[in-house]
Amino acid sequence: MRDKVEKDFIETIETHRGIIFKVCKMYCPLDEDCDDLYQDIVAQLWRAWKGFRGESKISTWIYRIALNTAISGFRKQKRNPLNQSVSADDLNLSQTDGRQRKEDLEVLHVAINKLSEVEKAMVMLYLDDVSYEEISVIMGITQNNVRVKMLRIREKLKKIMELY
Amino acid sequence: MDELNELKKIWDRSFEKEPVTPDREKLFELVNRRSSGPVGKLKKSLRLEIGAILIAIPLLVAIMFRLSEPYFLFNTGVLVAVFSGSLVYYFHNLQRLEKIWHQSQENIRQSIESTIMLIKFFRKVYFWLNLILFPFGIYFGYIIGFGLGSDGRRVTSLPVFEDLPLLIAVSLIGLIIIALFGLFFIFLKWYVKKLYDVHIRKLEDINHELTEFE
Repeated sequence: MRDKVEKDFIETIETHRGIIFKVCKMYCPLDEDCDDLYQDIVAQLWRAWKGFRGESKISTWIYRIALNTAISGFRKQKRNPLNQSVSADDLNLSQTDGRQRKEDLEVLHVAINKLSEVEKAMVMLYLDDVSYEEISVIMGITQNNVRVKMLRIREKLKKIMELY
Repeated sequence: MDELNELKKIWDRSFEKEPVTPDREKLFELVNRRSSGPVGKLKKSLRLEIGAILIAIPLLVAIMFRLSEPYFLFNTGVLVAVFSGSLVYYFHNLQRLEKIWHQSQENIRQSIESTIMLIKFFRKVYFWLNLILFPFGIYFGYIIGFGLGSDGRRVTSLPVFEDLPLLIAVSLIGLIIIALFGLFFIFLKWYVKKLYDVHIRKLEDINHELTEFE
């Protein structure tokens, strides 16, 4: 019985691995903490798996648990990502990817690292095409609050990207 | 939203390739791994306390069989009762943690609020229970040291206090107890703060940020 539950769970994780991977990259884009966070998220998802009754979309449920683990965890950043250079491996790129692309990704990571934990979650959901309604369900705030926050994030990103 | 759209293009490009995920064996290992999240840390603290009490109780029971004097039997019995009570309380809280954690998975805001509440509650429980158990712990040491050391005879005086007038000896013992208790109180406050306060503040800031336009 447990084997079947484990098998179903692992299949779900494999299908939605992109979400977990993106959350990891968002909250610890460059350092080895990423592995710890990945393991933490999978462990938390497994603990919550028995309680998942399909009332929400599976992707919404995964976003919620993964973001919650990333935001409220006790993890300490071992190194400051802003002080590190971006390698092709870090960004999951092959060596043949162009310089422009690497520069773009550096902009992305600099911008992300300037955001607060809540802002990172909201930007990530927005970038992944999650609707405002779903963002408000995942975050537990009103849609109006989502709109206000997104406006503020946009202002912040504008300043960051102008500087870069 | 030009900036966000620009970022979105970069974001989409950076995840064009499918991420490499651990193989199935690794994932099976991960699902059996203990969590290192806030609730996982609280559970770890509780398990440590439970472990220490689980070692102390059989030791006390063994001492009860060894020390036949009623004085020691009664006092060791009291200690066993106090430690057993704590054990039940710790187990109850361990189960409660699990239950609350499952209930708190509605959304991120609710989860953060529950986590703050849980950590604050356990900070309080951890602090007071340790403070209450401290004198019993000292007495546990007394039973081990003097009860077994004197082969079951009740120790009524210590050589160092024998030459002192009774009032001074009693005052001195009282002062030592107060100083020990004070030091333990300061240490415990510092330790609990170190364990939980930074994290509580971080979560409160996040919660404030989440709800500021509600």
